[in-house]
This record gives sequence, C-alpha cells and structure tokens, in this order.
Amino acid sequence: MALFGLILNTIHESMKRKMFILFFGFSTLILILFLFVLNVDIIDKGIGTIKLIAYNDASVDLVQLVRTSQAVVAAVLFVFGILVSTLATASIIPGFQMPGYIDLVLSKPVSRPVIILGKYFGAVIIVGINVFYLVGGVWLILSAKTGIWNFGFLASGGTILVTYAIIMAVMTFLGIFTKSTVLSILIAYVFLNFMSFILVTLVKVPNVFRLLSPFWKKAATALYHFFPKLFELFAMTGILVKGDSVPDWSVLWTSVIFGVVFLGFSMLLFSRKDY
Amino acid sequence: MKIIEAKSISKTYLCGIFSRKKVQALKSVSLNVNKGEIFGLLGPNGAGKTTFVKILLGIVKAGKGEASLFDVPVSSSASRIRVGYLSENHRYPSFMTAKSLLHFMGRLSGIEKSLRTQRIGKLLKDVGLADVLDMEVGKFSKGMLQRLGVAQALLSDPDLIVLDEPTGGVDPVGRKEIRDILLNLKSQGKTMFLNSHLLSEVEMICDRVAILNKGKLLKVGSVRDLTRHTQEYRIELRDPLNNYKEVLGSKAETLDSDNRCFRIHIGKIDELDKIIDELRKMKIGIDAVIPEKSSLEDMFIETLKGN
Repeated sequence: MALFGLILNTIHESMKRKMFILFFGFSTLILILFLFVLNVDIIDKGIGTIKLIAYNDASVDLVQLVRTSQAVVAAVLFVFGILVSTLATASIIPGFQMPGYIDLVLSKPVSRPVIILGKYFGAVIIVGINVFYLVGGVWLILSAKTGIWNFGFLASGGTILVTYAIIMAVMTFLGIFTKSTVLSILIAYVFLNFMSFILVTLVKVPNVFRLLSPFWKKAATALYHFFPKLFELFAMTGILVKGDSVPDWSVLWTSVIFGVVFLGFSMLLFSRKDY
Repeated sequence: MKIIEAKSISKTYLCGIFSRKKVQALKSVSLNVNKGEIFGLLGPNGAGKTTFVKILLGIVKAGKGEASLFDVPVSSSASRIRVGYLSENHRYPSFMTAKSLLHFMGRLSGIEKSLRTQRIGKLLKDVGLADVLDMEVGKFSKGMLQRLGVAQALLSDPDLIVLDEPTGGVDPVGRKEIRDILLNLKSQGKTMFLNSHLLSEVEMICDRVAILNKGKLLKVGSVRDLTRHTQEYRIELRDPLNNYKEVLGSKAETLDSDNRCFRIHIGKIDELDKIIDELRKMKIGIDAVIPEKSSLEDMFIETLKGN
C-alpha cells in the first residue's frame, strides 16, 4: 500500500507540472493531426489517394508512408519527449527531500528503499503514460486508417521508456546525493548523452578506434560497455519501427543493467543518509 | 512498560568541506519514557533535542548506542507503526490539498481506505480544517499548517506521539486548542514525547522532563520534583508577627507590609515542625504553609548556568 501511495503521489505531483500538461497537449495535437488531417483512401489493398494538408500524391507506397510517419514520431519522441520528461521529473527527488517534509515521510513505517522505488516508478509510469498515449494513439489511428499494423512502432515506445528510465535512475542517485535539480539534469541527461556520443564514436567507428593506443582502446571499450548507449538506443528505436531485426540486443540490456545498478546505489545511499 | 528506550546514544555530524569538521550533537544520552507519560525534552537551540527525536524515528542514524520504540529497534521501520510525528518547521508540497496529504500519509502508514476516509473526516473536523479540506496547502496560514500537522500525526491513531514544537507559530487560542488535544490524548492513555521551547506550556502538560544541553543530558525527573525547592516555604499567618526573625529564623523574609506573610528557609524538615510549634505556643493562627516552587523556567536557567 505504501509503494502504491508513493507512486500515486508522484503521478499526482507530475500531473500538476506545466511541462507534462504541454507534453500531453502536444501529443493530443499530433493525434488530432493524424486523426482528422491525414486522409487515406485504400483501393484493392493499395493506396488510392493520400492527403495530408496540402500534400496530394497517389504514388506513395503505403507501407513506407506509415513507417516513415511512425519513425518521425518515434524520433521526435525519443529526442524531445525524453528531454521534456527529464526536465519535468528532475525535481521529483530533490523536491521530495525538502526539509520538514522528508522527516514526516521517513517517520512512517515504510522502509527507505520502498520510498525511493515509489518515487522512481511514479516518475517512470507518468512518462510511460505520456509516451504510450502518443505512440499508442498514432499507432491505432494509422493502423485503423491503413490496415497496416506495425507492432515495431509500439515496441519503439518501449525503448523510449527504457531510455528515460535509465536517465531517471541516474537522476535519482544524483538527486539524493546533491539534492540539486540542475546538477541532476546536467549530469544525467547532458553528460550521459555526451559520453554515449563520444564512446560510440571511439569504439564503433573503425577509423577512430584504430588511432587509439592499446591502453585507450581498452579503456574506451570498458567505458563503452559500462555507460548506457543512448545513441544506439535511438538507432534501435528506428530499427524497430522499420521492422528490421535488431543486430545487437546487448546495447539494450547493458544499458538496462547500468540503470538497475544506479537505482540500487540510489536505494543504498538513501538508506544511509541522515535528514 | 517502556515505550521509548534509549541507551548511550551518541551522534557526531561531519560538516565542512570534505567532512573534516566534527560536531558532536549527542553525548551518550540515555532516556526512558513510560506508557501513558507526557515527556518533555527541554534545551536551548542546538542542544541536540531534534537530533535525539530524529534518531528515535530513524530519520538520523545514531553513531553509537541503541534505541527502541515499543521494544523494536529504531533501525526497523516496524518500530514506527504505532508512532505519530510532527516535526518542527514541517512543510508540505504546495500542490497537495489537506485531504490528499492525509490520504498520502495514511497510505504510508498502511491504513485501509475506508478507515482512512473516516479518520480524515473526523480529524479535519477536530482541528478545525473541515471547510478547507480541498484547498491546496500552499494557501494555508502558519496556524492552519500546524493544525494539519497535528492531524497527520494523529492519523494512524498512534500510541506514541512525538511532537517537535507543536505550538510554534500558533496564536494563543490555537495553542490552547492544541494543548487541549494533547491533554485529551493523554486521558486516552497515549504516550507523548514533546520538544518545546515554551517552558510554561511544558510545565502545564508534561509529567516528566529532561534537560539537554550541548548534547549532554543534565537532568531528568518529574516536573513536580524538579520545580520544588524543599528548603523554602511560604507561611501565611492570621495575626501579625513583628519579631519574625526570632521565631522564623534569621533568613526569613516578610512578603507583605503587615507582617502576616513570610518566606522561610530551613535546613531540615524538623525545623519547620519547630517553627509551627512555636507559632502555636504564641497562639498565632496559621492560615497556610506552602512549599515554595520555582517555575520550570527558573529551574531550566539555573541548570544551564550550573552546567
């Protein structure tokens, strides 16, 4: 019951934030666009006419059109959706430790790891609701209009949510450690993206990797495996939407392990901290 | 039965850059609170009162020593099942309403929804917030927040209520209402642990008090014992006694202009008997013999000065 209460409280808190209201409004606008503005006529399982605002072209391949639309939505959601979600939820953990409030929460018969899990999952659930509202809505509208049911697009919602969950795990740790919203965003979002970009460039671009000394090759490879691979998760999202097979699932699970480890550290740190 | 048991609790905070500065907040504090008692912890600012309370509630970890609530070590969250707490300067997220805050706190305490709803309604009525249950707490006055704090502390119908400055920032009327709530809880057999700067208030409601200064426990005892000066008595006579120094002793002092009321200082209780016998021999009527009490504030200041 305590865990449920904490999750509910975090969702309630998030719903009062303007950023989430904007996110929700933006998602609704896109859904309205796909619902009323995009008109597709299907003739003999092929495209008859397609009309999106002023665009009118009957020669477009229907499958390609659906997947491209979904890929654009997934890419926008991956970049801006995660950014907005990160900004909107960054203050949840530092704010929760407000003197005079945290004391009351800690005085309740709830273990500290449960408190952190409640706050963490509350944030992930509210972002999940927003992501799947948009992804699920677009998927349903496009699928119903075209008859093409691309489940890869739904799965892309999963990678977006997992990426956010990894960032949130780091923000949770930093929020407990520094009690600073700004530092949490800077390190969790900016630093992780920066490291991901640098490491993937060093390790996955052969011409760059060749230039490194043996020591730096080992160091870069170790760091590459340690840090979450946000850039490759972005690429994986695109692959899932296209319906292609994912070449390397370790990108996902090593990133998830990083998130789980940080969440574990967060619980440990919170359990030992004096307030 | 001991509700609170603390044995040799010490706590040192590490402050400053790289945690190099050490501040000892508590030095081997041992304290027990029995069932049904109202216990007051007194001390100047920075004495370690709040640290002690926070250790009891698991908010701060003790450096050394052991503490338990209801015989359950404070390191276990189970020790707080029967505890209600109101912290000093308590604050709430401004987006919450009185009702949503109490539901949240109730869920954390594991109270079932139907019971929670029932209790919230009653408590908000008791503390005079029934009309504003859907108002965001960000719009509450200091007094309203204090009443809400009391309500959340009592929500789980706790057997032990720990209050840190419960009447801080509350006007005299509100203070009396909170005091009445506490006395009502006492009549229900609840145990209370109170941190307060308002010594007159503590004197009014506490059974026992302890004085803490610079992390050290200086005195523990009942309010009656700590405030009673056994060597001083006030004697009120029906007739004037002009040669009072001869009868009542050289240290006696008159308290009125017609020599009927005196304060006497005695070494042993036998001396008081002798004085009374002497007054009777002189056929002087005695209206009252009252042991002189100092206020808790006097005792508190004396104790701190002595330390």
